[in-house]
Amino acid sequence: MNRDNRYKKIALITGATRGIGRAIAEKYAEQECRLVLVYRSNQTTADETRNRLEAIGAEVLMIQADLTDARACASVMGQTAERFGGLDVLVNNAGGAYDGAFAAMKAEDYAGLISCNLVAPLLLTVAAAPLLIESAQAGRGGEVVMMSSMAGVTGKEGQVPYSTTKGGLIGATRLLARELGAQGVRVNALAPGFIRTEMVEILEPKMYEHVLAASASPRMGEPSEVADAVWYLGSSSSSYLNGVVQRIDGGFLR
Amino acid sequence: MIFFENLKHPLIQAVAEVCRSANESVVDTSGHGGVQASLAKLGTPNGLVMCPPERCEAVALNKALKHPEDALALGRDLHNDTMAFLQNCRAVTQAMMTAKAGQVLFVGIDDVAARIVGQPENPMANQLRVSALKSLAKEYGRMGIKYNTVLSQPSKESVEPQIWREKRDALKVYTMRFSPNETTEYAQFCWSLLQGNVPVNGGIICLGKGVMEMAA
Repeated sequence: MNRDNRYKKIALITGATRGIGRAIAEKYAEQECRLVLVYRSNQTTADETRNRLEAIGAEVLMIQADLTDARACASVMGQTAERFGGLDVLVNNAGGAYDGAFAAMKAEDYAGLISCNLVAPLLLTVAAAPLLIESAQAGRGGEVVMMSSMAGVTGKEGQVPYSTTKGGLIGATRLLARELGAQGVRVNALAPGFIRTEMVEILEPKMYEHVLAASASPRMGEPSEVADAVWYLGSSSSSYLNGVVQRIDGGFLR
Repeated sequence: MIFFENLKHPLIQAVAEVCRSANESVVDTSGHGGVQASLAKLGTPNGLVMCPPERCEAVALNKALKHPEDALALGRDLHNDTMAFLQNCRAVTQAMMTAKAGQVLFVGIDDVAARIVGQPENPMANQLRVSALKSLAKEYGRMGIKYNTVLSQPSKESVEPQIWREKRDALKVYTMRFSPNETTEYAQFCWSLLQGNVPVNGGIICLGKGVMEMAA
């Protein structure tokens, strides 16, 4: 019997107020998980997200925090433990992008991206490790899913700092998997290609049409398809996967 | 003229030596205030060699896992390393765009082999550099600039002979009867890439004994 069907997992998802993160939160809510959703600043979208998830019966703890600060990460874990008594799944989804010609960028254009996309997931996972180890040893979970990107796997013109941070996240996945694997914690990464989100919809089609054309399934992915993959990596169905980077890109051929 | 971020790592020292023996001038930019200052003082080089980090990410991570207060240093070091790397990439790209030629080569150490033989293990630094250089190759390759990565196993001389013997079983993940290559073998290959005649851009070339592969 699948243990996921008997126990209401506790899942912490960052960046859950829009796009892929929202779809992930909805997926976990549908699966009757207890949710900790961390958002950085937008109270309005945070409230909307909580209301929508509670309307479908989810138990939700919303926490406002700047996860680039290690002390804030520790505080988030303290609040999670206080409310739910533990943590089973951590989904490091939050991230941003800054696109453009790299040679014309300034340092301040990408300093924040490094903090948000790379440092914050690492610090949050470190802070979550004691709870995840406890969960793994109790047979409840102990899974981490990092949201990388195909830009981190194959590189992408116009996205040098973004792909750098997403590549670093792949390295962090391997490092964390090696260090926490013996204690039962699994750390895996997803590398989405072009997914229909606000981040992609503002792009001109010429910026991604060549990518879609070079894919075995020549279409954009949907956030719900990424959420399904996150659910798989964060569940016992993937119990022998650790330290992997799962592409979810419609079969991008280069 | 070839710029080196620094000449601290034995493999990097060997690459510099091979460059010198081929009458290429070698600049240790750490002695000139860094890559950006060296570009301003000395002009555009034919190549820039980016070096393996000195720290060990596995050690830093384990400290942070045991002592939460050390997470601050883990995050700060990762941020600073990534910023410095991107700053150097940007500065040398701007210079090489004008010259319409140049080689940027990251020489890293394979983090799995490094872990086995107890050398600094840096999968984050390696992978973020690989991803950045692939993106740069896609964006600026058309301007005659090449960005490549070499990931080498630790060389024979960089590890005590006793360790090589003790870890022989573990090193079967690469090949049976593993015996390491010498530093100069890796250095010679790096020099061949720095000459710019190899038709590869955005590549990750894994050097070592046995079967090498990069996870992503």
